[in-house]
Amino acid sequence: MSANSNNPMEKFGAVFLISGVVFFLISLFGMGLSGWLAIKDKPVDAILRDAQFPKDEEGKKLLASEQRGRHQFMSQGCLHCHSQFVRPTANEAMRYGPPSQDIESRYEIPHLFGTRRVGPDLAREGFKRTDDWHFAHLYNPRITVPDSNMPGYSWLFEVEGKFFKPKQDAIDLVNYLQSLGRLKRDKIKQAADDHYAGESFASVGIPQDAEMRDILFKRGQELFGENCSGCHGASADGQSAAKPFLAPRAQNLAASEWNPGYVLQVLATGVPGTSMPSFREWGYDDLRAMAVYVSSKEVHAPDETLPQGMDAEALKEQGKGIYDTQCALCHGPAGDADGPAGLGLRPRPAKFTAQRPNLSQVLGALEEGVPGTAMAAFTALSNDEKHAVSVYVQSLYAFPMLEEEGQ
Amino acid sequence: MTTPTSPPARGSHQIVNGALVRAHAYIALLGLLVPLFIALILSIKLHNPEFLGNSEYLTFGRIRIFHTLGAIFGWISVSFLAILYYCVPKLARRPLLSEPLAWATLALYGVTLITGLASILMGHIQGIEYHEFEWWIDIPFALAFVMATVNILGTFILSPQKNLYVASWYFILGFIFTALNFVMGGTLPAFVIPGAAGAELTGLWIHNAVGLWVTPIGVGIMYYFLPANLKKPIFSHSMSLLGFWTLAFFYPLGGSHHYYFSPVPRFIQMLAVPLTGTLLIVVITVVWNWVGTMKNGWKYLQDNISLRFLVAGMFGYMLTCTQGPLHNNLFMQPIIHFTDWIVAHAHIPMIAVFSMWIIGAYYYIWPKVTGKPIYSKSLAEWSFWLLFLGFYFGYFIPVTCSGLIQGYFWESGAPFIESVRASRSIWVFRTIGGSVIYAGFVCLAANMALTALKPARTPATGAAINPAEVVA
Repeated sequence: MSANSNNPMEKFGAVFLISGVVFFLISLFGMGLSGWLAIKDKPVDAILRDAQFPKDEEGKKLLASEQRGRHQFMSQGCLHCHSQFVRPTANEAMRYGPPSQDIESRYEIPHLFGTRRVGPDLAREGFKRTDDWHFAHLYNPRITVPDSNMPGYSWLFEVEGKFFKPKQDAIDLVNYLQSLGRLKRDKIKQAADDHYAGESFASVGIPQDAEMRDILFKRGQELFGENCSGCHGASADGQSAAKPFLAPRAQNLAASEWNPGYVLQVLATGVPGTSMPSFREWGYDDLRAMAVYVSSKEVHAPDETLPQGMDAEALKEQGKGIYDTQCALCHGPAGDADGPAGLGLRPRPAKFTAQRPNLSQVLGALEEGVPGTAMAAFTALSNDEKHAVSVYVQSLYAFPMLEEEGQ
Repeated sequence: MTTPTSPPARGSHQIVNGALVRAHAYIALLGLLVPLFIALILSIKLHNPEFLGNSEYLTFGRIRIFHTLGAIFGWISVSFLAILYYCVPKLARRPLLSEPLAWATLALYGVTLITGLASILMGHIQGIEYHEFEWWIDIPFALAFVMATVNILGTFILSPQKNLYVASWYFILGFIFTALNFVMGGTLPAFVIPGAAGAELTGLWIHNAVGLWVTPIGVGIMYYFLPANLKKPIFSHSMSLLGFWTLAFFYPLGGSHHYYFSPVPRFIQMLAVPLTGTLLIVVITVVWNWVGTMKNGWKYLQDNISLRFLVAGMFGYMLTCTQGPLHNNLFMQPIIHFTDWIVAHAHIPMIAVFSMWIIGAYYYIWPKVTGKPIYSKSLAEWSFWLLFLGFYFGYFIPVTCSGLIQGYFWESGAPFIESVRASRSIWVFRTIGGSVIYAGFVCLAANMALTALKPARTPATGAAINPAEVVA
């Protein structure tokens, strides 16, 4: 135990100046500001620059809203559960999109990189889901993700009639969320837009083997409860806590027959123009199980019968006449949703070759339209004419799965 | 004049202001019991998100910040001040530079902290971790800290003891570095430097808040109270020097390890790996020094509760400061970053190191500043075992496991919600563990309060109080 009587390193001056001040400055410049020197003169992509320095009024208003939303992100305490950078490791690109680049946060002060994920990273959240999904999710996350442990932000909404309307703070916050990942956002949107142009899953069907079918059904049922019931209802009939938020509302899945390949495709791409997100991060097997469940006879509510005295064949012919003049423009001549007007719609019109709606569904759509879509009410049609169109529309279904199984 | 190798002898106790120490301790206990109660609420909300309904002022994101800031700036920092107002006059062999300044500092600090915490619940949150107070709170808060800095450093400057004891080096380092760091952290990444470069500075702020504020004051406290309890000098002066200067130089350089694989420039991230790895030198040196000092002292652990807390904290220090340099590599980081593993790592120092060192110091000085022996040995034992077992088995081990579960689930490509589902049962377990920890802290607070208010039943610290030592 030596005791050096006059070691200057043990006196106030050395401790204060060297360990306190000098070492602080070394760390500040060496491991701090040096990074700024490396980044500050890097060229920034035009997309980012134009968004940060908008020239038109609309762009300026949107930017102002996004900045307010950014403030909401901090003020509501989102930043400590949701990080904002995609790492080039641990398969993150598969889940979130391309790894984050330094220029993408070039204009963000303070940065919101975050250091913890209780919920998913949001760096590339923009345009992955629609505004409606976000509002429903913000109000109560368990509506859209039943097992979520995120808090609800009901104070950002106000009641209007039987709907909840987002206040300006919620609108700003969602605008901000939709701005995240701006550099790659359009590519991600494009991927989501490949709704009908994607891989054909037509070969997916219900397994013939009863045991296999049972396994898939049970798995699909479990997944449906965990992931879909929040919007589509526990019985898949569209009656759910999400109803007041969604326009168009979540499909009443029970009231149609479904081509399971089509269901799989929708699960993989989402439905652009609606709150239905893509569930592509579930593997093919799980998506298939959900498709089997949704298109099963157990889920399907039996179709209604025509009123007494109506002749199905005659109605079908009459319906074809009306359909060809009034419906085919959007729904396509064969019911493939590829009519010239239909191709530009978001969401796209119903695809009758893959979906056979129950009578009540078609009648309801004709009588009231489908709020949130371009489908208007066709009030000029008489009751008979509506039934005619319904019978014809039902005949367009190209996957007679249930009939084959003796239903 | 030789350099002191142990704290000053008794007899100089009149230079300590017992009222100052007690006042800070009471406020620190408030800063313990409230933010940690909030921690229990947070723990429950993670597995039962609808707990306590849907109020803007109790929303998880806001009360989380209330908890972290309240624990660091309330419990830990105010306790530090309480203990420093005992140690520093003794180390400097003179009273504090200005006791009125110390009272004014407490008033300003306390009012600002409480206002700041309330402002967090109202949504006034700046997006820098541990620096979430907005500027209008930051300024008076920094002022209070500078006032304390002036007081403590001024005491040392005017001290007749020119060759400083090792604890004094650490205290001086903690104050001056943190004064600079706090101003840097609240201004540069918040208002000046954007994006990835700002993240680097945030990393420095976060890392140095733990390593150059909490660590030096805590280690200094250990260097003071370990020899004080054992009544013998520190094992090795050279090790004291090595441990101090390696901490002061290397610790500030590792901050970017909070942002591995982020857009922070690559060369900085690459450097942070070995620079953080050097901290192994620090922990080995310092703990070896303390273990050397403990030679022939282990037998006192049974009866000396102050010593027991200090030594338990030393083991925690060894654990966290070894875990840090070792998990700080680019093989483990892809899995553990962002997960509960890091939360578990961060709570080792807060609970199992610095809280324990603070409590060890309190059990030593409390009889001296109240004039009474510790009220109840039984409560003291309960406070130790509830904290020790509650933390390691009810928090550290389960939360480390949930961290691994989360990391591997994310890497597997499974939907994110799967990791949430898988963590849920461990989060329930953590609520139980947290309740045990909280009970331990309640026992401590009760013991201290009862000591001050009532005469002793069964004195916990063995020997009777030496009246000459009392500074009440």
